[in-house]
Amino acid sequence: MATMTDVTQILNQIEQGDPSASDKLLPLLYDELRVLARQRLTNEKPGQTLQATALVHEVYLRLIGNDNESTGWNSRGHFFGAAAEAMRRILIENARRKGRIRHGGAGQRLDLMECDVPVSSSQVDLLELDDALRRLEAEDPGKALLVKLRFFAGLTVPEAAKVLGISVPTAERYWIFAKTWLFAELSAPS
Amino acid sequence: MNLPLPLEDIFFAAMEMSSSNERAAYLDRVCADDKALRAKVDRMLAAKVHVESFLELPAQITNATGVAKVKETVEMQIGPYKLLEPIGEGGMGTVYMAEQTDPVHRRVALKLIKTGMDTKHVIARFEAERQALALMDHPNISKVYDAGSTESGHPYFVMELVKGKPITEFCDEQQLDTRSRLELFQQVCLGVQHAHQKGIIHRDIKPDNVLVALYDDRPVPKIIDFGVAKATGERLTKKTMFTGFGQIVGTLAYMSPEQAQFNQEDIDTRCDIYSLGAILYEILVGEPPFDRGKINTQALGETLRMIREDEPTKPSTKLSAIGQPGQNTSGHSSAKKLGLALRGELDWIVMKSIEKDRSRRYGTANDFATDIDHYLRGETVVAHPPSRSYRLKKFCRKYKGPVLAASLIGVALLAGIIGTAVGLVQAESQRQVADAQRDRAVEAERQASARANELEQVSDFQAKIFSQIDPYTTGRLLVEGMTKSLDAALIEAGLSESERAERVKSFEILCKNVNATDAAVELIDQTILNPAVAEIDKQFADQPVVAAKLLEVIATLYHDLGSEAAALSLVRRVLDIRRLALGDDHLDTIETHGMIGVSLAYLGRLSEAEPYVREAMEKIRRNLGEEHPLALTWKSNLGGILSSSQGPTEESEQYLREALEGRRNSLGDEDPETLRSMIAYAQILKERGRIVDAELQMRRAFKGCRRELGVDDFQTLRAVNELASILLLQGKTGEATRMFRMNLESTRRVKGEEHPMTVRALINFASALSERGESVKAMSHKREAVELSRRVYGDDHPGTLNAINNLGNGYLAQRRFVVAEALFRESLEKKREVLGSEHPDTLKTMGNLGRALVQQGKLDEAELNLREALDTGRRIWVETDPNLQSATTNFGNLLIAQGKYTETVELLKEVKERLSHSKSDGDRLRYGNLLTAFGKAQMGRGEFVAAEVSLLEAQHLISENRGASYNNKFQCADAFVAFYAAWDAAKPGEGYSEKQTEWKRKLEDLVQPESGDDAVKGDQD
Repeated sequence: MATMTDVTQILNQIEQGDPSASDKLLPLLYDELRVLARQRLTNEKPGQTLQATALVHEVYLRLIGNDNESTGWNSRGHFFGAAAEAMRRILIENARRKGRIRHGGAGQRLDLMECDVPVSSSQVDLLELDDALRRLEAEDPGKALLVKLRFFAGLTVPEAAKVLGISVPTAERYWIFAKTWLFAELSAPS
Repeated sequence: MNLPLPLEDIFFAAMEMSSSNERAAYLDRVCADDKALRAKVDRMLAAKVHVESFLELPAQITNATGVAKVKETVEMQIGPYKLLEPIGEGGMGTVYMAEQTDPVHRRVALKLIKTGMDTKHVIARFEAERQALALMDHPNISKVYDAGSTESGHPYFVMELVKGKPITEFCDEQQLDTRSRLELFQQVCLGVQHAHQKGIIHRDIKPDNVLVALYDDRPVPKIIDFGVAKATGERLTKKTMFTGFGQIVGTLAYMSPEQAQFNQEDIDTRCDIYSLGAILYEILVGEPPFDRGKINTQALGETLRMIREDEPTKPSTKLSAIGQPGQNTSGHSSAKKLGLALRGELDWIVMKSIEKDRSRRYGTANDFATDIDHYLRGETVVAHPPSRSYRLKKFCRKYKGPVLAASLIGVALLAGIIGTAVGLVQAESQRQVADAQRDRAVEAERQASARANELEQVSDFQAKIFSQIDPYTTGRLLVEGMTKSLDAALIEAGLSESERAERVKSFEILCKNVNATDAAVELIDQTILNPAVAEIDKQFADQPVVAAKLLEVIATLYHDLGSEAAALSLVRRVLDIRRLALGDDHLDTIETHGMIGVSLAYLGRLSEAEPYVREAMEKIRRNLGEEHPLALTWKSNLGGILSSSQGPTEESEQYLREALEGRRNSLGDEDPETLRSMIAYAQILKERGRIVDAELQMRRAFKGCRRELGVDDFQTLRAVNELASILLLQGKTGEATRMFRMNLESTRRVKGEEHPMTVRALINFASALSERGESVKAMSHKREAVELSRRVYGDDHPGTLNAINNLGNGYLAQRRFVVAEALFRESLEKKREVLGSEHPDTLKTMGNLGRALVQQGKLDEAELNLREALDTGRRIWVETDPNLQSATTNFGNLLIAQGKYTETVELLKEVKERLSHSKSDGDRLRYGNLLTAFGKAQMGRGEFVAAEVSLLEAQHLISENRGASYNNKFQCADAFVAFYAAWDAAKPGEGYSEKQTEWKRKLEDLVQPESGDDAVKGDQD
């Protein structure tokens, strides 16, 4: 398990311009989130859901603490950017694995109580959404990041605006645009 | 790309334009020849109304399936072990028969731990003991070979494969006599002794871990799982109370008192002696020392207390209480004979082994086995009955156990209620001594009622205190209290301030994941109510009337906490007591009889409930007169129950009206009782279709409640809920949704997550969201509602059945007919059973099932359902009832599918006329849907011009309505396509084929169902 100092150290390195540091953050958060998700779900009845974003925030509190002053928005940005990406990967992996099992794929791996079916709130097929998100990312990385921060890390629009360094009205506008863009993409005849 | 303008700018510019012509011209200009761009903008503009709630709820993770999946997967490999088949399932995990190939080829048992344990620690703890485990070599011990973790991080243990039966089962199956049982058990002791000598404590000895198999026709017991409990065993901590304790339940019946406490520390070999004793108890008697049923049902805290403090019944006594052989008596030939055999020395042996004080148990498993040997040889046994002074000491100790911080409130209250009552009783009994020689039977009865009068005041006062127990506040205090004591403990442990702050913080985060109100309900049950009942039983064993009164208070509190089943069982006891003590005609007995009905009704067992309540009402009305407050109360109860069980009949309205008028006259408009009646009466007006009157009444009731009782009061919450329902029926969806949301939030806060009122509020809020067109949120709430109601209400409760129906509606609106059909079927089948086939709720689901069937072309079955719904509906609903209008439209759609156009037009004409005048959103959408059907029927009759008018009007009504579902829109557009095709066929070359193409495109452009568009307007939600 990671500790507070691991993460704050990495964040400091990033702030000081160490390019290799940000590579360390993602795997760390990825492990942290996966373990936490599993812990939370294994004692629950099947079908229990929990908000992915609540996990992200819990990990944040544990690894960084609640001290807004000492942790600059820049660091928070790095953290949530990486956490959103880690959470996205976890959900997508699970969605893929679920797909395999459903299609009778080779189930040689034993995944007893992995967090299983991701039920995104809207019942959007998560894999489809992810494909669309990648297309958006190709055209407009900033807006794609905004979606990740909102949907996978649970940041509010004003919080995401701070992370992205844009004004709140602009973030609102981006958000509406990105949602509509994705929705249109999902409803397009394939 | 060489775009003239970025997509973003085009999109926002186009969105601003209000006229569609202007927008089209603009897009033509800026997109020019870029067809892909134009298509994207068009799709985005079409999507914009749907995205309001899209992605607003963050992603969620769920654990959909558990162990079942493993069974399906054919071949699984864990390290060098190939899983062959599951051979057992326990609280901790599943045991598989597995094949080891490397380094040796053999069959083994592999236990896969399923709970969320910290694998590293489990393995580390196992490793610490591995050497010792390897030293164990005994015929009665199954060897543990290995431990490890799977790729996905689950710990597992590999053991010698034992194909045996739990020792208790084995004894019964083989019908062993007492001697054989004892001899078999001695072998178990020897195995345990061997382990203890190697320094290994088992910690979880129970019948499931002592397997007996026949070797050369000789039964040999083998103890399994050595080392497992220690490696996996999280000690019982306060945290366990919150994080689920499923895994220890199977173990509790055999757990020693020193293990049955929080933060237990020094466990030694003597805890295994206790468990052995508990097994011996079960082998001899057929049941473990403490009732397994109780352990399964009562709160964990109470069970632990029981294990630590309660003296179990002696085996011989338990056996005579159990009675007949062949049922529970371990297959003994004669229970009586065994009882005789047990009494005396064998009793002592067993009781010595399960002593609470471990220093009084056998020192070693060997001593235990030896004493059994003494018995078998007829020699004097070491064990002997406890002395009197020892028992007294134990009794005193029992009452000074540690108390949870928050339970202090409870203890104070409990002390109050019991203390006052005890005082009175003592005074009374002194008086009683003076005239002891009197005729006791008569006197006791007289005194009982006199005392009941005195105590009435006392217990009324106590009841008031009790009713102030508020789970919400208690929950908050609980968390605060625990945080404080945690901090204090950390200070004592000498942690630095920053370390402490960190720990406290993580504790607070933990607490945030717990609904404190729910925890408080649980805590109140454990620390106050459950002990209170036990105390009352003990203190007032010879004061039945007093006991009844006090139990009634507790029952009421259970009801307030939402634990209706617990309330019912107490009320039943109260009734039994009062029948005996006061007779059938005493007013209290009559009322208690009625209360059983009320309690049954809350549990959803409506048809059972009615006779109880009716009898109470009739008797009270006869005895006290029509206008007596109690008569009014029971009229009101009966009216309410009748309207739930039979629907809003004339009879139920009459009772509710009489109750309301009576209370107005005697109590005035502001009295809580009057307000309650007002709510009930408004509710039935709503159900009888008199919506405007209903709204008026309900608003009055709501305002009264808020003013007189406050916003968080139960009645106020109920009034809000009902008012919102009425508003929803009238299509005032905005105000209704706001009220439902407010209701859900307050109820959740005040009553906790798992309370029936919260469930109802959630169901209703989800419905309202549907009608608002917020389909995505609605759908996820609907799912949650079904899950929660199954848990809180149970599978057959009308509330659950409605939640299922509503979820079905969500799917129907998305045109996912197969799922919808299945849900409606489930709901309908049970509603017919629980509510009967003439209940309005049953009819609604029937209609919905019919709709799902029509859409799938299953017309015959659809007709059966829709005809029944319409025929019955015509009998029970007034003409203006929206439900009847929907039933009619549904049937119309069936007729169209059957090609009976003229009949459709005839059927729908009247409703169409009525709906065309209404202004409410709900009615206008219903009207739109009806016109879609009507237009299709006209088309079928060849009346093309009239049909086009109907369809265009329908399209207008549906497209402007926020609550219109994907299904509504789809049906309308689909009707257009069919219509222009037919018109084109009748009059080719008039441009109808182009219109057909245009509508085809519009149909295709409609958002696909997976996107979660699911409003349920126009159906019978």
